[in-house]
Parts: sequence; C-alpha cells; structure tokens
Amino acid sequence: MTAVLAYHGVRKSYGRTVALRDVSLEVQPGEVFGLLGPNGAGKTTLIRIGLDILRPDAGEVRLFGAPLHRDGLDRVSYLPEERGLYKKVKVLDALTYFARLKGLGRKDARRASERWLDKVGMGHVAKRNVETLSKGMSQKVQIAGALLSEPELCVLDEPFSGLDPVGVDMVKQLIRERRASGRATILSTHMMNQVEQLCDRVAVIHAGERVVYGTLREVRRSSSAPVVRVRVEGDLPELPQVARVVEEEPGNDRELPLLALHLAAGGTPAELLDALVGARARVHHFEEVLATMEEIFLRAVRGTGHEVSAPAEEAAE
Amino acid sequence: MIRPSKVAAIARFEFANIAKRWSYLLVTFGLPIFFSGLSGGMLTLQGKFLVERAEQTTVYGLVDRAGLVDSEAIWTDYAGLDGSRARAAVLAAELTADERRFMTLDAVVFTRFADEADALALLREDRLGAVYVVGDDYLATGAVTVYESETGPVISVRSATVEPVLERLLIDRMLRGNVDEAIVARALEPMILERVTTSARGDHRSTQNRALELIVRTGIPFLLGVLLLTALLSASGYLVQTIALDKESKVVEVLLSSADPDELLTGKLLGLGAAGLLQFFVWAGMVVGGALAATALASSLDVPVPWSAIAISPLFFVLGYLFFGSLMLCTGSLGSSVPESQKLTLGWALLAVLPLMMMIILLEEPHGSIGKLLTWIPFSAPLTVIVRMSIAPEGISVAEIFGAIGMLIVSTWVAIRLGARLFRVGLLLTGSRPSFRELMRQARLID
Repeated sequence: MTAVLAYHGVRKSYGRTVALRDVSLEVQPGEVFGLLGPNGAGKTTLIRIGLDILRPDAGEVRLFGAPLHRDGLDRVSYLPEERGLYKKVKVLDALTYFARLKGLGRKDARRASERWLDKVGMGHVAKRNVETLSKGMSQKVQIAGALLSEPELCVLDEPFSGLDPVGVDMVKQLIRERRASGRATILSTHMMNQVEQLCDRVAVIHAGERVVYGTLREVRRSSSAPVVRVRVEGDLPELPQVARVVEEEPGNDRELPLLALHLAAGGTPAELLDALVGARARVHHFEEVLATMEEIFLRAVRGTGHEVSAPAEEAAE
Repeated sequence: MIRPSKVAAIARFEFANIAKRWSYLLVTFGLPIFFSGLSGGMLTLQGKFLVERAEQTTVYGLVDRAGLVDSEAIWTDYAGLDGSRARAAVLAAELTADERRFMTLDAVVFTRFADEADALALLREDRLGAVYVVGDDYLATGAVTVYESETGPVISVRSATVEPVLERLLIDRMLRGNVDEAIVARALEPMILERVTTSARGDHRSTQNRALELIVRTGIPFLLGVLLLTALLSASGYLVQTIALDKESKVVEVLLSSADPDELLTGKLLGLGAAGLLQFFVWAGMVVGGALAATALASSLDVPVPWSAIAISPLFFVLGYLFFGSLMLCTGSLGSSVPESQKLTLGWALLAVLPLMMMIILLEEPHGSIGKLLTWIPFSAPLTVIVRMSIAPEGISVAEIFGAIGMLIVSTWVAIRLGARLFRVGLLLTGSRPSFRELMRQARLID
C-alpha cells in the first residue's frame, strides 16, 4: 500500500542547531498516526517539511507516493499548534476562505463551511465576527476549518487543547470517523491517554531523532517487561514458561489473588496461555502487562529507552 | 509555478476584507469630501473676508508736503461726500467737523492734514486706517511715509487697495495740465500685457491669465504627485498591515500549507492593489474634477490641463505599487507585530517620498539633470514621470517614459523574486529575529 506521507532520511538544521537527523517514517492511508515528542524535539519542523512550508537540507519527502508537490497539498490539511483566525472576519467567511484555498469552488466552499460548522455545533456563530468567540468556540471553528475539505491526510497538532470534555469527545469521534472512512490523520499531542485510545501507530521524536516507531501495540509490548497478570482458581501449576511469581493482590471472599507472572527468557504471553490451558488451570483473568505510552515517552526522552521499530511488513499494514 | 485559482482566492479575500472596513471606506470616499469641503469652506471664508476688507471704506490721513494735492477743487467737505459708505466711514471716525476736507477715490476716503501731529493723534485713537505723508522732496526722492497703528492687522490688504489709488492720484496730479490727456491716461495704465507661449513645434498660445495657468500647471502636478504617493503608501501600508495580522492571528501556517509563498505574495499584492487602485481612482477623480472645473472656468483663457499625465498615472500607480508593495511585503513579514512591521518598512516609504522633497527643483526645472536622473530610479520614477509630464509634456521623451516603465517592471520582477524568498522565511519567524546572514542563508540567497 502506498504511504500517504513518507519521510526518508530527512535532515534539517537552523544555523548550527540540528532540528532533524535522518528521520524516516511513513503514514499509511486510514490510520491515526501519533507523532510524539517533547517540546523542541523537531515535531513541528517535521510537519512543516511534510507540508512544504520548510525545505529539508537532505532526504526525501513523498506525498501520496510522489515527490512533494503543491497540488498534492490540496488533499492535506493542517491544524497547527500555534493557531488562530482573522479576528475582524465573520466565522463563515474565514472558513470559506480556507476551503477556497484547498481548491473548493465558491459554492462548495460555503456549503462545506456551513455543514462543518453545524457538525462541530458552531452553526449559530457563522455570521459572528471571530473576535466575539470564546477560546473553546474558536478551537472548534478551527477544527472545522481543518476538516471541511475532507482531506485524505489531516495533521492535527494538539487538537484537544482548550476544549472541555465534551469538545474532546467530539474531536475523538471526528478522528475515528476519519479512520472509518479510510482517511489518514497525524495526531501530535502530549495527552498520552488520547494516543493510547486513538492511535494505530506512533513515532517519538527526541532531539531531532526518531527514538520510537511502530504500531502502538508493538511499541508498548517491546517496551514492556515480559509480565502477565493472572487470576487462577486453585493452585498455579508449575510451568517452564514462568520464571518468577509475585502476588500483587491477595485473594479475598470476592476476588481471586492477582499474580504477576514474570516470563522465562524467550517466553511469550501466548505460549503461557497455551500452557495454562494445557495444564487445565481455571483462568479467570489473563492480562499482558504493557508499558503505558507515558512510561515509554518518559523513558525515551530521558535516554533510558531504546529505538523501537516495528518490522517493515508491520509498518506497512 | 503560480496557480491562478489560489492567487484569485487570496486576492478576492484580501480585497473584500479591506474594502469592507469602515476605515478604508472613510479614507477612500470620506477624505476627498472632507478635504474638498474643508478647503472649499476655508477658501470661501477667506475670500469673503478679503472681499469685505477690500470693499470696506476707511478714512486715511494724507499729509502733502510736496503740494501735489493742494488743489481745493479735488477736496470736499462732509456734506459733499459721494456715497453712503464714505459718509458712514467719516461718521464712524467722528470727522464731520465743517473745516475737515475729504477726497473719495474708489473705496478709499482721504482726509487732508497740514502736518503729521494731528493725523497721528487720530491714528492713535484708531479713527484713521493709516496716515500717508508725501515728503517735501517727493519729486527728487519719491519718498512717501506711511504711519500705521501697532494695533492694526499684521497682514493688510491696504497695499493692494489704498496704495495703488494713492499712486495713481500722485501721477495724475503731477501730469494733469502739464502733458497731453492721452499721456496722462497711458501713464496711469502704462502696460496691458499679453503673454504668448511658444512651443518647440512652433505653436503659439496666448496666456492671458498667468496666475491661473501657474496654479493649474504646478498645482495639478503637485496634487497628482501627492495623491499618487499617498495612494502608493496607503496601499503598501495595507500590505504590511495584512501580513503582520496574518502573523499576529497565527493563520500563517494554515495559509502556507495551502498556498505557496509566491501565490500568497501575489494574491495579497493583487487584492490589496485593487483596493489601492480604487482609492487612487476616487482621489484622482477629485483632481480630474478640479481640472475640469478649472478648464470650464478658464475656457476662454486656454489654460492647459495635463491630460496625458492624468491618463498615464494609473499605470504608474500599478507599477509603483507592485514595486513598493513587494519590497514592503518581504520586509514587513520579518516583523512580529503591526508596529514592528511598519518600522521595518519605513525606509522604503522615505525613498518613495524622495521626489516630493525635490519638488521645487522638479517644478522649476522638470527636465533638468535631476529630473532625468530620478526618472530612471525605480523608487522615484512614478512620481517624477507624472510631475514632468504634467508641467511640460513635450520635454520628456517617449524613450524616457518607456525606459521608466521598463525599469519599474524589471525592478518589480527582481523584488518579487527576492521578496518571495524572504517572505517565506519571514512569515515563519517568531521570537528573536535572526541575523542578516542567517536570514539570507535561510532564504537561500547565500550558502
């Protein structure tokens, strides 16, 4: 499958400051791709290069399978972190203008603006000047502006900031709708719980380098200690796949004890489950203990992590 | 490759955005009305005042030591005064005593004194407008002393009303009876001047009204030049404002992810240029209207209106605007706020004003070496060509006009190419401004 956006060995410096060092990654159609990293890591530079706002010093960027070209950018939209709207302009006029810049005809642009304003619950402010909107309202209008051209790739940088829980839920729903319709979304955020809920694949950029890359599941699994939590009725059978057992919660009248099983070298959770079933153990709970994205992020940024990459065939799923 | 659809969308938005603002509407349509009303009102008021002052009858003291006006036949008493105004003026000055003698000439009433003392006493009481003393050696020296009250007006119309009357009176008294009547009449009006201007083509044109011609020939170029410059700077100012607002409003990245910097720069230039051109047409319409009125007023006097300069001025506005606009856009984009961007572009505005600083030289010698030099400099070309064509169109060659147009087109092309590169860098600048070298490197103007 052709990647929607692909970076190959991209480098970029500002004077003596290196912003990106040989960064390569791909965004696939229909996926939600988490682009993560601490402030100043180079995420915005990477995004800007992908949108032809900045030119790389070296490396290649391909958009929809072809070298980066301006016409291809009509199929891409961007909600930057540092964002705003023209204050003295009516909401509908501002959105119509953005839609026109994405290549929509005048009537289509106006219709799409009206439809998306309704969709984000802002139809009632269409005729109001932008300066009269609250921060949350302005955020919703800008999200509508980024999505109204139904782009095949949308880059959302911190889309949840300034939104109340209802707003956050609405944006999450819009991102899921995009995935369901086969459209790709790059999500850059510091809210790791949202990453776990929404992203299919992630990359963590730190000091201009890609330090984590792969599917969410693979990244979490390969960053985790080989531990499985189980609740088993009766005694736990002796199994060669288990190196050590730690009781995390004692059992009581209502619940069986929670045991942390540290796998033996080379053992996998699937093999352990097979072994438990084979030993006729009555398993009430089986949970692979995965590192959270927050733990992975902190480890990667503090230098205790390691490059985690999914196999090539998995990355291209 | 610039995409016309993007440029059109940007231009349309920028034009609508600026044209809907009340400040633009006020400046475009309100300013000419305001200035016409103000200047018209001021001129009418001053004209009315001067006419009233000129028609106001005042009594002046006359001490004639030379004995030129001592003939009793030309003097009369209060009862013999002609005209109610003269009588009212004498009455107001409380000079109705039987022995006082008066002479009325036009709107001037002279009263005779034997010596200065009595006259000056009345002057100090503000009962006389002034006291004229014709010296006893007048024939040898022509000396006439005028005494004025220090409480009187600083600028007086007396030199244009009273003194010519006194001058004619003295000439009349010296010559009448001594020479032929025809000589007296000619001495009183020695010259009826007719000016004829001859052109390089051998055409002759009567210029009877030198003052009106001077106003039309210098006033219109000056006004047209000032309007061209004001419209140029106004439209360029909108450009600086809009790009600074893009940065302040943080919409720059959204725009750049949809349109190339070249498209953005071109769209803004065209959209705001159209707004500036509309403004210029409205303002220039005022000048043309004034010129038409002057022509109608002076139809019998054959006063030349610089139609060729007026006709070509929109072209020079467009070229000048594109040149200054692209320079202002790229330098303005380096600022992080409207005031900062305006400061950065101040230098270009000062260069645009250069010909205005040279206006005296241009009006005096439009086709001299300075005029010719300024024609070839893109910063000063628009204003210089318009002024030169207005004053003496025959003095500027077609090669110079086309040369200036060509120079502006080339300079504009270079400015847009270089400007677009700086514009791309400038738009994304936030926080501290990079060094000039770093800026050039990022714009890929140097390695």
